[in-house]
Formats: sequence, C-alpha cells, structure tokens
Amino acid sequence: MTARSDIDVRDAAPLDLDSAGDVAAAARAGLLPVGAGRELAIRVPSGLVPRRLIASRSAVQCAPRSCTVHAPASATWAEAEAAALGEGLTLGGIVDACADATIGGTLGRRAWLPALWPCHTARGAVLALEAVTRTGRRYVASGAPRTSSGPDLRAVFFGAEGRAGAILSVSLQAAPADDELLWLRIDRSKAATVQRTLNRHGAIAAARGEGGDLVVRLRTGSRAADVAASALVAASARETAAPAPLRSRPRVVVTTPWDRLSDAFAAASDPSLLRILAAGPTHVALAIEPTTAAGRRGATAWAQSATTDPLARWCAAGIPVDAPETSPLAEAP
Amino acid sequence: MDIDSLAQTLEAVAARGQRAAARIDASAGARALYSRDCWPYLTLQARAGESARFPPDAVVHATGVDDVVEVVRWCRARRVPLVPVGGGSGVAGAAVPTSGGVALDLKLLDDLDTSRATTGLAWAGAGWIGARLEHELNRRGLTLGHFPSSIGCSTLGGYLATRSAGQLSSRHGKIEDLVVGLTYVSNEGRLVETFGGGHDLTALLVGSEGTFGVIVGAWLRVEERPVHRRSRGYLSHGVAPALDGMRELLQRGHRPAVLRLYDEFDTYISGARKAGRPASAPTLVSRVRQHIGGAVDAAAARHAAIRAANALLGRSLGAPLALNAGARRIYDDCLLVVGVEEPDAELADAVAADVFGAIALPSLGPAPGEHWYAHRYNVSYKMSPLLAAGMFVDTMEVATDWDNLANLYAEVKEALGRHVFVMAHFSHAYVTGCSIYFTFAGFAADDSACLAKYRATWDAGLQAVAAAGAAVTHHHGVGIMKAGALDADHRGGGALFAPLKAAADPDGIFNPGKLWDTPTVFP
Repeated sequence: MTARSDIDVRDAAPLDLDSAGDVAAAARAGLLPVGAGRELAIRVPSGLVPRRLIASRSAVQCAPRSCTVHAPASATWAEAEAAALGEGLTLGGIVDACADATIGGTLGRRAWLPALWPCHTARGAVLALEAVTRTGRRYVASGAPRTSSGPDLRAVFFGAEGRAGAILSVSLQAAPADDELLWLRIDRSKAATVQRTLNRHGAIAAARGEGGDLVVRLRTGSRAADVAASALVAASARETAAPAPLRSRPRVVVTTPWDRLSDAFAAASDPSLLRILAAGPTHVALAIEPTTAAGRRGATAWAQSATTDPLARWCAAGIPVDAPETSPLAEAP
Repeated sequence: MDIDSLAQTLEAVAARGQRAAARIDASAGARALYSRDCWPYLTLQARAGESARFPPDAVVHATGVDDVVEVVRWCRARRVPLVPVGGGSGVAGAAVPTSGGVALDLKLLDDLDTSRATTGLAWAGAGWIGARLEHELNRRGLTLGHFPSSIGCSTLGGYLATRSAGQLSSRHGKIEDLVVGLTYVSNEGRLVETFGGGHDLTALLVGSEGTFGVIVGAWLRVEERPVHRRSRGYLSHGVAPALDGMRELLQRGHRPAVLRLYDEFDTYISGARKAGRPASAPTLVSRVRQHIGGAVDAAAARHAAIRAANALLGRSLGAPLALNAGARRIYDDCLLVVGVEEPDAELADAVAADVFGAIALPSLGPAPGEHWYAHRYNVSYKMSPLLAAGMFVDTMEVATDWDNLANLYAEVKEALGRHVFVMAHFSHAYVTGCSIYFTFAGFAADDSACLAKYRATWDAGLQAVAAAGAAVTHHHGVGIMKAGALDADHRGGGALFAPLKAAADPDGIFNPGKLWDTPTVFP
C-alpha cells in the first residue's frame, strides 16, 4: 500500500459524525477518520481523505446504575472522564495515557492487546459500538456485557487505523470512582509476587510503574485488600504516592508476559525510557517514551527486536507500524 | 465425495509422521451421529422418527494438526464443505453439517504445555474435553476456571468457537476472557497464530463457529487452583432486592465465584434440594407432577400413575398461560446462592467476609451453596425424562445491562409464557449487567405439533429479546437456531461479516450456512 506520511492531520477538514448521511457519503468517497490530531506522522493510504471528526450535537452521557459511559468518538478521554466523575464513575487508567486523545482515535490505533486489569485498556472497556463502514453502511454492536452472538465484529474497527470505516460512538465500562486507594511501590524483581497477588485481587487492584519499579494500586476498605497489602509488604513493597502522569503520551507500547519483564528492561539501550504502563493477569504493557524522532525510530527497532517471544508483540503504537499481516482477515474490511 | 482420495492423503501424512493415519468413518451410524448436536429441535425430529437431515459424507478423526492442515487443503481443492466438530454438545445446531462434506472431529488434539504456568499461561489443543483439561490442570495446581454444565462432553475448541461461559464466570470470566491467543488452520491450509500486530484476530476467530477456519489450540490464562470454598444462600422477596445486591457487590470490585439468583418458581421447583435438605426431597419432575397431578408414586400402580402424571403434566404444559399464572401465586421467595473460591484459607475467609457482609438479605447458611456445588452439572441430564414423556425442554440465555435487566426479564418471560411453562435464574453477572437463563418446558398433542410449538416459542422469545435491546445469546452461540436473530446484536453485521468471510474462506468450505453466510432457518 502506498502511503503519504508526515501529514499534519489537524489540517483535515471537519466532518460532523452526528450527520450520519455525511459520514456515510464520506466513507464511500474514501474517508480516513482522524481525531484530535495528536499523531503528527500518520500514514495516509493513497486514495483516502483525512477528515477530522467532530460532534455537533451528541455529548457524553453516563448510566451510573450500569456503570457505563456513552460518548461520541470525537470526545477525548479527559472529557469522558470529567462527565464520569460527575456521576461518581471513572474510566480509570486509560485516561492517564490518553487524556487528550479522542476515544475513536485511540480505538482506531490500538489493536491486539492482552487483557489488562479493568479499565486499563481502551478496547477492553468498549461495550456498545456504532460505526460506519467504508462502504457507507452503519454497524451497531449491542452493549450487553457479554454475548456469544458470533465473532466480536467490533474488532474490525479496533486497530484498523480508519481503514474499516469510522467509529461514531461507543459506550464504555466504567467503575465507581475510588475514594480510598493505597499505592505500594515494589522492585521489579518481585514481579512474580506482584502478578500472583494481583491475580488473586484483580478487580480491586492494578499495577503501573515508576522508574522501572512496579506500583500497585489497591482499593482499600476490605479484608481482601488487607490480605493483598500484607502479601506485598512482606515482599518489601512500601507505601508511595500515586505515580506521576506520563510525561507525554507513549509513542510505542509493547506487551510482554510477566516472565519476560526483566528481559525487556535488560534489552533496552536506555531503560529509563521504559515505563510499566499497565498490567494484567498474564501480560504487562510497557510504554516507551522517546522524545525525538530518532529516539522513536530507535524504540521501534528495539521493540521489534525485543519481542521475539510470540506472546510479546506490538499492541499499540503512535508510530505507524507495519505489523505482520498473518491472515487475509486483517485486510478484509 | 472421493473418500479414497481423502484416505490416501491422510495416509501420506501419517507416513511422513511415522504414525497411524487419521481414521475416516463413512458408515451410516457415524454419519447419523454427526448429523446433529444437542439442539433440542433436532432431538425432537429424531423422536418423531425422522431420519437425519444433515449427515456429513464422512467423519475424519484428526490425530494431529498436520491432519487438519491436509484435510483443509483437500477440501479446499475440491470445494468440499468442512465442519469442525468437538464434543457435539452445542444446543443451537452450530456444528450441524447442513451441506454435507467432512465432519472433522478434533477431540484427539489434546496436547498440553504448562511450562509457562507460573506466568499464568498454558497451551492446550482444541480437542481437550473440558473436564479432562481441568483435571490435568488441577494436578498441576492450576485451574482454567471454565465450568460449563456440559464440561463432561464439550471441548476447548467448542468453547472458543461459540464464546462459551462457565458457571464461575463472575470470578474467572468467559472463554474470551481466558484466551490470550489461538492458532487456527486457514483456508489455504496454513497455521495462523492470532497473537501479534495488526487486527485482533483472536476476537474475530473466537465465536466464529468454524466459519473462518479450524481452531487447533490456544494459549490460555490459567490461575492457581482455588481449594478453599465458602458459600452461603440468601432469601430474597422477589428478584429485585437480590439483583440490587448482586450489582452492588460487583460494582464494588468483589468477584465471587458463584452468584446465582433463582426466580420464584425456579426456587420452588427445586428449592428443597438447593437448600440442602435430604436427598429424598422431590426432584424437579416429581415436584411438577405433584403440583399438577398429585402424588404419583403409589407402588401399586406406579407405571400407570407415572403415565397419568406425565399426561397431566403434558396437558398442564399445554395450557401454559394458566400454569404460569398459577406458578406466580405459589411462591414469592427467591434463592440467591453466593460462593467464594480462593487459593488459600486466609484469603477465602477475607473475601467471604467482604462478600457475605455486603449482602443485606436473610441468610440460609452454607447448605444451598454446598448443594449447588455438589449437583451443579446435573441439570442438563434432567431433560431426557421430560423429552421421553413427550414434552420438550430448552433454555434461552440472554444478557443486558443492569438498567434494562428487569424489563428484559419481564418481557421475555411474558413472551415465552404464552407458549410454554417458564422459569429463570440470573447468573454470569458483571459490573455492567447480567445474563438471564430461562428454562422452559412445553407440550403438544403430537410430535409435529411439538415442533411447531417449539419454533413458535423461540420466535416469540427472540423477538422479545430483540425488542428489549438485549443480546440474544450469552453463551450458547448462534448455530442454526439464532442465525436469523443475529442482527439484534450486530445491526448491519452482515455487511461486515461478508467481506471477512470472503477473505478468510473464498471457497466457502468452512461450516457453510452459518452466521450471516446465507443463514439456514429452522429446517
């Protein structure tokens, strides 16, 4: 596929996603939907026209009883989080990594990602999804918490970089906003203990990183949390402040199984650029935060060389990645 | 179909691997056996004496992944339909070979790699029977945490192909939460791993019901085996207070292993046994018989009484409006069963204290939960006596968010209740919503009328689910039965599926006639 790159998509003409007819027509004409334009070096396949999605009428809405937040794709995560907090809900750790990005843009950029603990993956938080395909047809996935009605067709749009059409809106799983949190910092060498402890407490805990260490977040106020905290303290965890926000939105994110975490840091030429972004039952997501274009290229090369483990692969990227296309399914829509 | 050619192909594969060849069985018995799964509609047809409508031309028992690769290539070269088959326990007709061809039995694909279990990962072949796989993992101190009621006769590949759920999903999640990545054989006969860059192919293969390729194995998330169990039953006046309790529990971050709420009549029908009373307590069937027709087990006329009771039961089920109305007046208490499972005792006590302390309902103690654990796989085997008595029984599992749950329950119960006797329980609860599992039984004058009533019941039920804006299936899959209702969950999904199918299976060999691929309506 021929591609034009280094196009500042913030110059793209706006397209109102509340005007379904316009979106459908644009899709048929070769729409490449873009969000906030935070990706300054986006790959634009030839024949596609970048259009910046906006919402003139729809707004973020919350359903506190069902812990869900409904948002137009053009809303930023920060806007959705603000509305959620107003109803006593939170979207959790996603917002830290993507606050100024649009929800649709994040979903379009991020593809394969193993499960992370609740509310840490954008894709994992999506319930209902409304989209327009590149042939101008509307697709709506119901917002049931789980279904078995065939394959999860929402995945067609995740990570498709706009090539499958345009995401119009989504509903997202939220959680009650935590008011009692305990942060514990623990050396990365104790990763196995952290993984085991958190696997026993997945719904009330999460893990991030700070300077290469793991930082565990526990929702306190329960006996189970006390047991988890005791286990971590026994492994030399110490209380700490909440991790600082990321210096910038991560340009490269890779995942690695817990048992390869040390290998990933060992392989990095500059481990200080690596940060544990989130963790899940089997994998850890690592953000790489290079500050220059050369650094980004270097990070890409490192990530590709460091992910020889078949279960440690790309999950998301700000840098266009020609991921290995392993099946015709990947290009079909 | 040129079976000799297929046999030669498989013998060549076996010779290369220096092992026995995959077995091909084209006998009438095998073809009849693989012509249906456990979909009650086809069972009713068989009861009516109809011959198998959808026999495959042959059954191939693959002994290794290379057999699967060669069978796919062979089928593709000859445009022969290919239907992957696991345990055949599906209840919607997903594995029914509606176009003939090869039924590819995968149960011998049972390799297992737990070398990375310390990091929560295990590889398993698609052919593992659920109970055997769980047993093997348990021996290693692990669990998959996937316990469908069909666990004794269903396979991992089947779970993946239909997006299955286990009974402890509130703790462990559904199969899509447990699979990290999988390997399938594509149309070209290539092994494809779905973990990696680009699209999330795992999400597209899981639930595809064999229409995109043949799943041969998966990396699964495994956990420490929980050996300490605490359980408690609660009594709720109506379902609403207990549903509120379930919702609040999950939204506070708790993950009880068991969270099951039985509605009034489901509680009544088998409440005594669930409450842990003596095993002599009446069964589901006998309770219904007693309720409708009085005592039936007088020794002097046992067989006659049973026949009479079945006739009475049948006649009562034939008047579902009256029966359902009567049931609503019998009992107004609902049983909630809550269970906790953890790897160590201290944690189990802590979690139990948190969970049980958060439920503000009258406690019945541990007996209901213990009884449920002891009998949790029994329910599927209780249908046969009713089928043999001329009735039909089936289940409908739907899901929606908490805001819509009460509406969905009322609407579907009303819709089904016009045709059949219906009860329900709520299980598989999540932060944002819950599933409802309706169990219904019906009767008609003869088999033909039974089949017609069965269809009418499902039509009414699925229409009510769609009208309520809920998911038409939570974990039984689509199969033949629900193909026509797919758009309720995926409005416009056909337009997305068609190019995917065309790209993945340009020759249309993989389980043709399923999902949006020219859906086969009720045969």
